[in-house]
Amino acid sequence: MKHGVAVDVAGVGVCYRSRSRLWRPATRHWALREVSFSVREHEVLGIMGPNGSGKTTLCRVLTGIIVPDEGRVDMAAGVGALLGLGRGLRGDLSGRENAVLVSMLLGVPHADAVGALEEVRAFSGLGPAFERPTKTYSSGMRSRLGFAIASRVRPEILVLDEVMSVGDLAFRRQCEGRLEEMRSEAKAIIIVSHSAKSLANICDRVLWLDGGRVRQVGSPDEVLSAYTTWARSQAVGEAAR
Amino acid sequence: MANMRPRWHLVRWLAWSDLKTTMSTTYLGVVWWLLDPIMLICVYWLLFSIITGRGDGYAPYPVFVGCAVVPWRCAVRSISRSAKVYRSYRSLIQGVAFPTASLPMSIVLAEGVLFVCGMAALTAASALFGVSLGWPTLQVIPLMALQFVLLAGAGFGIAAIGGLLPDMAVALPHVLRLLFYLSPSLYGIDLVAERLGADSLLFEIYSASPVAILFTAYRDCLWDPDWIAASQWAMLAGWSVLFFACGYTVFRTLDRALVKSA
Repeated sequence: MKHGVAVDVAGVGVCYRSRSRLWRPATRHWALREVSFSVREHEVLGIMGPNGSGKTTLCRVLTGIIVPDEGRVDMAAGVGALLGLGRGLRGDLSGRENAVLVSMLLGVPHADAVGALEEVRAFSGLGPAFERPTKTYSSGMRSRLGFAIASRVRPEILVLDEVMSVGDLAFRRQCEGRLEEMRSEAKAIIIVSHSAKSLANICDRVLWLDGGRVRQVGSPDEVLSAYTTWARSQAVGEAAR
Repeated sequence: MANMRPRWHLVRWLAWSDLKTTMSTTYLGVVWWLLDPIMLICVYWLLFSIITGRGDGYAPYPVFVGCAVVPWRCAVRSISRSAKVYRSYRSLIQGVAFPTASLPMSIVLAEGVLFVCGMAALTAASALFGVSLGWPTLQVIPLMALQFVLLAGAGFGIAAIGGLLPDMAVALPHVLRLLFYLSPSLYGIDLVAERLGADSLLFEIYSASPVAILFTAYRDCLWDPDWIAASQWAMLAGWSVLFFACGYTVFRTLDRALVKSA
């Protein structure tokens, strides 16, 4: 890997195969094809694109959940991810118990997970509800807990998938502050979001994915303005139909 | 490979959360851990001993049948739940990079805890029915450990095959039911020897199956306490190692593709 590069993605392709049925053979669908980009050290890269463009699949490749069918991904350091807050929460467990379980799922050793409980409780702002089963939580409370747990893990390369719109305004500010801290500590951050405003504020560069391929990579202003124009034209086309 | 090696704390927590879920969904909660196996034994006792009179030669029949149905229930639940593991935990598997091998292990561990409770209830029943328990009864501990290893291997293998062939989860209960009735569960292995011929090759194969060895061995602990032959221990240990090695290899081979298609 080149010096000063934290993430190097070269010609990555991911092909999903549908299950075959008795009368229907399996079909193949390329979710990503020939995706290449790199992220420099201490850079924040934003990824955006319409639904089904392959953003989540790319996150799953970057975090090592799935292995690409073609191409390669090189990481200069350990990678961690916040892919959809609240994953792994068990409804019958309390917020406290879930904090330990989910931290361990994210790779935190048991002792550290237990040691960080008070910090998670304080950051989540759940108060006494932290001791209640999470099935009694609202979706906002689940997201708060999910973010508080996941943001405790401080990997060198961080992948965030749609975690910019958590909870109410006050909590969102708190999250942005935590993300800013993580940014100063991390080697590189990759953020997936539908919010052009958030990406413009945070990112050094933005990558636009469309139909599983990279359509454009460049400065946030340049890419976001092209993307917004394209999205508007798509909306007008849809309305005309 | 790091994604394959289960982390024990994680396995323990997943198993515990599983047990807590089962506890919190019922009024009696943890009482069911003892009550469920007792009720299961009562059903078979009523059907096969009291109504049809088939258990006359195996007194006390509740203990005799319990030595088969309690371990079998643990096996069936572990295997059936493992077969659906990639579907049951889809959201987690898709969103978090963690050692997926922890999932079938946690299922087997959770069922193992229920199994220990079931065996405790069976031991109490055995004493209640006047079986003279003694040192041979303690063999139940290594037996349960070997069954755990065997089921962990089966859990790994079935989880992977179930992920690859979801139809298996539909067919599996029928296969397991057939296996239960074919095994010396409701009747003794002496009856099978009588039918097949004690010296026949077929009986040799039948009595060397892990299910037959386990049921007979549990009866040697709790129904008619006696020392289990060294050859039986060796065969059971061999089966356990074989199941674990094969199951884990199958899981390791298929896991990557199954996570992707989850």
